[in-house]
Amino acid sequence: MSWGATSRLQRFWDIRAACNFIGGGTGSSLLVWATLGLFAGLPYFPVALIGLLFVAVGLFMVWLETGKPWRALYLFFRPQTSWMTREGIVALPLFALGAVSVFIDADVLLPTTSSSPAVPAVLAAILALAFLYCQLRILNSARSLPAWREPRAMALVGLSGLTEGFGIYLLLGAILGFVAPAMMVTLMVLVIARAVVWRAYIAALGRSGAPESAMSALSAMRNGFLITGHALPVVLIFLAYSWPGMATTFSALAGVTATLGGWLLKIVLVTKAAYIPKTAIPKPPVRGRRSSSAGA
Amino acid sequence: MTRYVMVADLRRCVGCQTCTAACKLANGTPPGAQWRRVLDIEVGEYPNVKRVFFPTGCQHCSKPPCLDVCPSGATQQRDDGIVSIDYDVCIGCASCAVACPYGARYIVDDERFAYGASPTVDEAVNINPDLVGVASKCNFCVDLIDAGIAAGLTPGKDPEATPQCVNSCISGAMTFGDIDDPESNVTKLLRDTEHFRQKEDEGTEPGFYYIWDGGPP
Repeated sequence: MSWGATSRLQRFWDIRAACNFIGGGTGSSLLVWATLGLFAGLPYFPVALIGLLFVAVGLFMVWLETGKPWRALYLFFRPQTSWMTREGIVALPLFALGAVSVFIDADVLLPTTSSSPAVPAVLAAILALAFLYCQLRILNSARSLPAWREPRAMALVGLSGLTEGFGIYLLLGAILGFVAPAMMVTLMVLVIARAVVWRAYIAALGRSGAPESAMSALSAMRNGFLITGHALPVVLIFLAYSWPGMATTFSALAGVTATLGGWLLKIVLVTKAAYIPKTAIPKPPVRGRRSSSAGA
Repeated sequence: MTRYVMVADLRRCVGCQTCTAACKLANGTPPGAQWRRVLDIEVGEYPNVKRVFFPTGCQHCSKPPCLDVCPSGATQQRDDGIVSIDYDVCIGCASCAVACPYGARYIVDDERFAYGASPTVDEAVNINPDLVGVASKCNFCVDLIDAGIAAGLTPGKDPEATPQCVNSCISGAMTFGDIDDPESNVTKLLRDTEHFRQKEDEGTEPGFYYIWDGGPP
């Protein structure tokens, strides 16, 4: 069998691209959660700052992956159709507004006035959601890869991004001392929703005739993903409710495990499950007799 | 209008890979980039098994997914249907490579040679350093076509204006021409034969046809 006669793993995007999806999903949703927390009176600037750092590290990693990194400015040339261009365009005001809101909240900017970071924070959160959406569309436009182009992959990776961000939010809440029972319930809802979408995604992928090797890669990570990213967080949240004295520790661990599960998903999706289907021959050539056998 | 397409007669292809070698020589592609391939595929089930030699490469789609995803504008589509890459603009992000349903794009990250650290005699002359770090693919030998047209020649008819894979094909399996011209070689060939295009359900409208039956082979 020659090249193309069997499905093959794409090698164009590696762990660095996975890091962009990890940093982008975790960071952008962290900004969203930080903004919602701001209106609940929770600390904003340390959380938002870390969110921005996640996004920046993700973009830096994908920059390292490009073949011609010093041509990075060319990235902005096709906003009409390219979701990668749009991602880059959204990132600029996201960092600007995110930085302004962080500086205002940290009293670095306008320290003598009682300015609220609410307006730039809300705008940054909206841009963060747009950034996350751009990443989902980038994934979806990989037409050669059934595991990525399946529409439910967008829902799964998007929801996972929100879960990862909230997991880090819980961890920071434990460190900074602002964990509330409602936050634990929110994490539980997110991980349960992600598990449901995961099942729907796998079922749809199976129906779409995705390469067996892609299904095998996803199947191999299923237990790790479901146990680390879902079962453990749920158990830890129950433990947090059962032992109020340890609630902060358990909720932090729940956040970390929920986040790690999402990161595992993205690493496997990008580096292990991204199989290009084999070349299809619907009609083999007829040589010498007037019938065509089954295609490949 | 003009719409250049490639036609591969699967009944004629013998899998000799001469087109592959001619393409590499003409375009100076480094190891790891193979714009023209001939797949050797086993079809059917034992005992009714046969080998199919399947020339493939960029399909020069009318609706190329690689075009939309390209963030730099390096991927372009000409009015005659040829999809090309500006290697001075491409950033090597690989968006196009994962978007192409036909696996027709290549990215070679570092300069390399077929045999070790030094180029062969051919490579020293032909290898194209512009192809390192960027996406590359078949361009239907567009420079040849343009030069041929400028000289008053007809692509697909005159070898000086025709892609090298077609010129080199020993069995006449590869044909190139303008499908919008009712009198062109490809139009007549497709009119008389049964053919398909790869993954037509993708909606990309490939410009690469495969003859599998009908008419004289």
